[in-house]
Amino acid sequence: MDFSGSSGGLGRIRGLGGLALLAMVAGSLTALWVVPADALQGEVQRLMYVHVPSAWLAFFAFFVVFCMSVLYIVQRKPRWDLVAVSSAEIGVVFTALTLAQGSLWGKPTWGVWWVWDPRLTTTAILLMVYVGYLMVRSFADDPEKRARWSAVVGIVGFVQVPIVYLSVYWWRSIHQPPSSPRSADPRIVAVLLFNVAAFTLVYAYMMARRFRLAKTEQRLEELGPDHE
Amino acid sequence: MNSLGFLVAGYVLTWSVLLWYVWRLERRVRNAERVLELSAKVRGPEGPA
Repeated sequence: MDFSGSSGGLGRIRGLGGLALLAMVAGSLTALWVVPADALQGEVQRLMYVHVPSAWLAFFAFFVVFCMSVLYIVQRKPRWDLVAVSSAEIGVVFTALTLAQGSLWGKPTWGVWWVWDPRLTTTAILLMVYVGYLMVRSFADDPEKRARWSAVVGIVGFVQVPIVYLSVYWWRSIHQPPSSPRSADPRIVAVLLFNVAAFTLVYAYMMARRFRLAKTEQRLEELGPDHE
Repeated sequence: MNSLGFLVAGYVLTWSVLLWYVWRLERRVRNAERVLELSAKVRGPEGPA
């Protein structure tokens, strides 16, 4: 991905944004009108086509934070910290979205907006961990210290991701475990995978723009407090 | 609200949040770049006095 601020780079990023938008429109249309509704849950099951991609993109975003944090600790290059904070912010958006979509699915399916189920509770903790990651950054004025503290939180906090994923196996949960693609209608699998790809394009576009913002803020910070 | 209402609410919420975040991100990028440009103009070609 081109993170440069050149006009050619910006054109490619705009193209990526357009492609992501088209893929999202196509993904939503196929999920709402093309693929058949679930025989047991009915229409509300179609929320899965945005809920699962949101959750996976949140996991992926936090995996990027983890990798960039390790790279920062090893190499001490500010660039890795900027990629990490960009991915963390986007991951927080996708995690909050996952929880809200899940709540909208839970009310007609379980009869409640929220239940202290292991999957839901661990996801809420995941959200708090990465909101904490973003807050930690505001506590340090020194960029090097801020990057180091963030990297530690980015590495330790990632432990929560496998806990969320495995929570449905470890504890008694009313949240269903992932279904096997072999047991599902191939159309359902195809539309789900298409939506995961569309959300990934959205993530890539957001990353390119958020990284651009982080780079600009870094340059402003280097100029001194009068320019921030 | 019936099952269809929750479905519509879920998609409206998803699109709204993603579009809001992208819009806000673009505004933040533009503002930060404008501040950087202005500070470059104030400093001039030879840097801070």
